[in-house]
Amino acid sequence: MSDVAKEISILNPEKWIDSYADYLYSFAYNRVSDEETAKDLVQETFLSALKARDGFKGEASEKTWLVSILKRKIIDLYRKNAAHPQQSFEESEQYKVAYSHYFTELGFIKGEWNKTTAPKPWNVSEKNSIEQKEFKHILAQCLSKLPKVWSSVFALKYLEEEESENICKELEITSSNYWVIIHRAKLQMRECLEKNWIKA
Amino acid sequence: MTSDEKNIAYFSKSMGWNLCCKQATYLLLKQEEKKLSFKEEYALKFHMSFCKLCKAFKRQSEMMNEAINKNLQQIILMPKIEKDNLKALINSNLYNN
Repeated sequence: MSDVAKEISILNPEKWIDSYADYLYSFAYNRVSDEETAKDLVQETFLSALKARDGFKGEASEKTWLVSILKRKIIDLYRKNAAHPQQSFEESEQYKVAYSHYFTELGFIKGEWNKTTAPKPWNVSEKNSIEQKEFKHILAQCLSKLPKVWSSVFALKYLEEEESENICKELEITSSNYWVIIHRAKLQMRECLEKNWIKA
Repeated sequence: MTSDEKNIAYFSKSMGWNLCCKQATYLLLKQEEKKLSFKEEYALKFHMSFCKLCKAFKRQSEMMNEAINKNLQQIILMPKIEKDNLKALINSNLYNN
C-alpha cells in the first residue's frame, strides 16, 4: 500500500439540503414532470440515504451516491406505472396510433411512408430550438398523449446510463417488444412535435 | 451516389436486402442504442442512400434526442419552504437515532 491515502468521501447530512436539494429536485422534476412527485422523491431519497449511511463506503462521491438512490426511486416509479397504469386497457389502446397511420399496408409497395404523415422538413432555427420553456411544455403534452407504458419506456431510455437490456428487465418486457414500443412512441412523438412545436 | 454507395447498393440488392421505410426507421432507432448485425447495417445503409423521407426522420430523431437531453439538464430550484421542511426532517432523524 502506498502512503498516500486514497481519498474517501464522507457524508455530511447536515449539509445535504444546501448542497444537493436543487440538483436532486431538478433531476426528479425533469423526469416526472410533476412538482409533488418530485418533492416526494427527493424526500424519500434523503430518508433512504440516512438509513443506509452506515453502508456508505466512500468510494463514490456523496453526490453520485445520492443520485444513484434517486435514480432507483424513479425507476421504481416508472415500473409501478408500467405494471399498474392509471389508464385502463381500452384507454391505453385509444392512445396508440396504428402503424397504418404512418406506413402503407396495402398495394404493391408495403411499408412506405404515407404521404400525409411522412416527415416534413423542420425549419428549426437556432433560436427556436433554444426556446426551451416552450419545448418543455409541448414535450410534456406529447408525452401525456402516449400510452402510460410507452411513456415509461420512453422516459427510462433517457434516464442516463440505462441500457435497453436493463429497461426490459425493469419493466418486464421482451427486447423485441422494447424496440417496437420505442419505434411507435417515437413516430407518435415526432408527429406530435411537428404539429405543435415546429409550427408554433 | 458515390462509388462507395454504389457498391453498397449492388451488394444489398444482390443479397435481397431491401428494406421498406417501416423497417428502416425501426432499425435507425435500434442503431441509436445498439450495434446492428452486419446484414441489418448494410441493408439500412442502402436504404438511407436514396430515401429522403427516412433521412429526414433520422435527422429529426437526433434533434429530438438532443432537445430531450438538454431539457433533462435544466436546473429548477426547489421551493424554500420545502427545503426548510426537509432540513427539519433530516435533523430530527439525525439526532433521534
